[in-house]
Amino acid sequence: MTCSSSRRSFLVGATLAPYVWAWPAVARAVADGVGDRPLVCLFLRGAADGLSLVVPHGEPDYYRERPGIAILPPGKTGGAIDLDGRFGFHPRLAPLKPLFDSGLLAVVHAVGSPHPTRSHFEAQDYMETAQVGLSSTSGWLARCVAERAALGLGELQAVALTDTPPLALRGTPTLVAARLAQLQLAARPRARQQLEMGFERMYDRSSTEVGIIGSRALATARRIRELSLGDDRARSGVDYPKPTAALRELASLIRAGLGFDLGWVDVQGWDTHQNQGNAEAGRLPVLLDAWSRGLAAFWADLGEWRERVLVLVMTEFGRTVKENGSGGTDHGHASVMFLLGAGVRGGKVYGNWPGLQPNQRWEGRDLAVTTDFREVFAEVATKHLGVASLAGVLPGYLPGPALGLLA
Amino acid sequence: MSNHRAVVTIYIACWFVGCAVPNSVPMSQVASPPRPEGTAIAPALAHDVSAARHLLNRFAFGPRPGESETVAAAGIELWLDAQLGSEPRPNPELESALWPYLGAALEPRQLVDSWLGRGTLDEPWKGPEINRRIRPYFRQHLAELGLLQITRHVLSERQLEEVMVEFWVNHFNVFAPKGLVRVLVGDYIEGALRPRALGRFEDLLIATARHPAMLIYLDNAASSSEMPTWENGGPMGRGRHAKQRRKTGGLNENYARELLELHTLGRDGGYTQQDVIGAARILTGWGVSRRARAGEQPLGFVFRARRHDSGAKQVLGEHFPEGHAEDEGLRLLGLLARHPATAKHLARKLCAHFVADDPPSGCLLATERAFVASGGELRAVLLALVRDETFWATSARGAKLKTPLEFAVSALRAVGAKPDGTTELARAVRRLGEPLFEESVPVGYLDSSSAWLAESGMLARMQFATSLALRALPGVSPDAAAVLPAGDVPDLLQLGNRRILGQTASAGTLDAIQASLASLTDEADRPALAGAWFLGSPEFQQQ
Repeated sequence: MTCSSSRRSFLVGATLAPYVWAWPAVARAVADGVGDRPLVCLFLRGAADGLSLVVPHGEPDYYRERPGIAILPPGKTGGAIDLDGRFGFHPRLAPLKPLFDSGLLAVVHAVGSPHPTRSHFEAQDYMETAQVGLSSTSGWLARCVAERAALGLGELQAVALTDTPPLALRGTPTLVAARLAQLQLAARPRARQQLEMGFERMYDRSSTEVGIIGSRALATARRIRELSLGDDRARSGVDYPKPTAALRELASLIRAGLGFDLGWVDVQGWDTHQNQGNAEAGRLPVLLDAWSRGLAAFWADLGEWRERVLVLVMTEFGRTVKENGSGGTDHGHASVMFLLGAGVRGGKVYGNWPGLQPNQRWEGRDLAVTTDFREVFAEVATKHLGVASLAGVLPGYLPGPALGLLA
Repeated sequence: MSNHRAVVTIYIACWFVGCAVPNSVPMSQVASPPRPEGTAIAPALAHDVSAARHLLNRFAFGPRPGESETVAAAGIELWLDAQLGSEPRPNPELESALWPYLGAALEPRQLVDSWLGRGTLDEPWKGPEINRRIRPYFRQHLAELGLLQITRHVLSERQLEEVMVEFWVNHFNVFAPKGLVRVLVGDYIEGALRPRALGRFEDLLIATARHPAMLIYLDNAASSSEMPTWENGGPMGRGRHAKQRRKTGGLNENYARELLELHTLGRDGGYTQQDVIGAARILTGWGVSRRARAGEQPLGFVFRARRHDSGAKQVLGEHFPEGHAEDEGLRLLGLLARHPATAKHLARKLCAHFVADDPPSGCLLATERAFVASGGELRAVLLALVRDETFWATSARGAKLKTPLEFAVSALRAVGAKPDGTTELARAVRRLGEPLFEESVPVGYLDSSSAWLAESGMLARMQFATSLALRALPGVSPDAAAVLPAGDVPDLLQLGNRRILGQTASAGTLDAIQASLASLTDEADRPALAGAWFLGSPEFQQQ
């Protein structure tokens, strides 16, 4: 994807006069191509248990090893929702089943990292940089869009509705906010105007990292207020479960046509060492219930953007095949990924199933990785983000035969 | 609530007459070591105001008005000596400010008594039920604990201890809203961490490993032997017993893994999955007591021999022979505390905290050496760190972004503000993005700039600065007038730059504030708005 000269000159204009921002120009930028096919990532932090999300209900070892927390086979009360005779969704993923059936949603199973670590932090870093042992490097998604013109939400290529900036986006201009409502300075109107102008004047003069981010924050706050994106007026009428408000806000930013390439939402709480639960009670069903309904709402909310948005759901690794001593599971190896979008060849569970018998497991205990997560990243980078060469994006990765997840 | 008050009164009485702070591990090992010999700080720095300010930014939560000048005049070594000393010094200002909230640091059992009635835990009880009943008290309790912590950070004269308490709160992170950690977190901080914050690393490690807050947070209390012994059902048990065992028995690796990865050896510490399993097996049986009986306090540490895996184990190439009990856990913690990888890991974390996100090798080397040579005596380690020239390098000055908590506390100190007793202040810090004791992941809050440089965070800082300077921050009475009294624009610029920014304002910042002040229609607004802009400036976010 190349960038047109009109957009470049627009960018220069924006840099020279940051407060005189013309919204019609943004719409033009979108029409030109950058930011018109956003990738939205949901990172399930803490290692989501792929074996409970997408249940291998034909595996006797699954039920043998998990007497307290297994999801029962389809047809039983609280049983899995069958997908293809071998695998089934956790019953709390029911809101996603219509998307699977209509061919928009694909599952990749036994997918994971070529790195053997069972450390959350190491595995997340690796998955976000797609590089081993270079902890201060740039994010893989930042490298995907590095060639493009920086545009959209005021020199932004990415929006992360998270507490902290995701490593995957490090190296690309990103708006980071836990909630859009936090992007404003509250005070009495007269004082606010004076204060805001004073801060803008000060931060626009600063060339430090803090100065640049502060300046971007003030400019973004202004625009979000002008567009009323942070308040109820931006709501579309689609209902989201409360914990998934970030998805609602992301949908409102996409619908406003701000023209960013990457959206990111963190979902915490998947480290289910205890009280993981099965179909109804426990930590996992509660999380799955909110986030599957949230994701279905997000999809409905996108409207005509459904043609252009791709959603990628990932987690750093999976969990032990065997239930532990406290009704939970410990750190394992392979897990699942989901892709949702118009270009997805959905309605299918991808990957080679390694089996769950002890001799089929990785180190005798975990679901083995048969699909390197970089195979999924590679398809997303080339087919959705328009990356021509993977050498810089996924260094050291030798592409195998493509899974064919995306059309 | 009369119960609550009675307990608080007893506790406060204790505070002043000096009874031991309740905690789960004997305090005898917390004595301070003799000061090690070494190269002193360069004479050129001894009375330098900007060096004093740098020291107060890193070894304290920032200077109070005029403090850089006072410390420089008396000499930097003198200030360090006092900070590294172990004698308590009377601080009536702090004590009176803490008074309303000392109840938040009660022992868990007393806390439950004060909320649910005396003797609640002496009757048979179940965790989920107690949890349900304490929940209505928890948010207020957590805000009080946060205020206790912030007040100490702002007012304590023992600033280095406060900085290290915060360091350990994150290094040995627990998540307050998890189950019974709700009533344990205050005792964890006041009883396990604070008394040892400048002590010996091994003592801290043991105190955290044994504390019920950690045992619950990282699930060790739920871990038990994979191989049932005769006492808990027999190896060939069948039927009902076998089923029961299945339900309650088995390892939980959570604590053992974080113990190796985060608390001691570090990610690159060279341990394997087998070491994690070995450590988890060694620590089976370390749990939390449910009842009052001889040698046991409800919600205190207990070793349950029945849940312990007494087989032989191997960790880091060390053999742990069969037949041992609680003692092998202590042996494991000693082995980890003294392991060279732990010295390296802690040196890296301390240098990243005190010097630069990407620490210079000089600091790493000096700190690691001192850690090894002193057997993990933290006073010696910190002395080596501060005596290394990399600490004072120009490149290190102002090189670290303040965390939200550091920003808030340093802003309060900069304007001589005193927390005056509403928990709103804890909520204001929460809005900055660092709710105290509520980081859910075991790594704790990070202190690198990459973790905190975000748009929403920057606006929240400007907001906090504004509220503080405009006297709109509940729970705080700022002495802003002493910092920026009414005056004309050049005076305000000069005073703000000296008192709040320690002369670090860039020309751009000064120009911008000057233009903004000049454009104000009402001159009376000038001091407060100037205060907001200086505290919310890019320079004040750095330390």
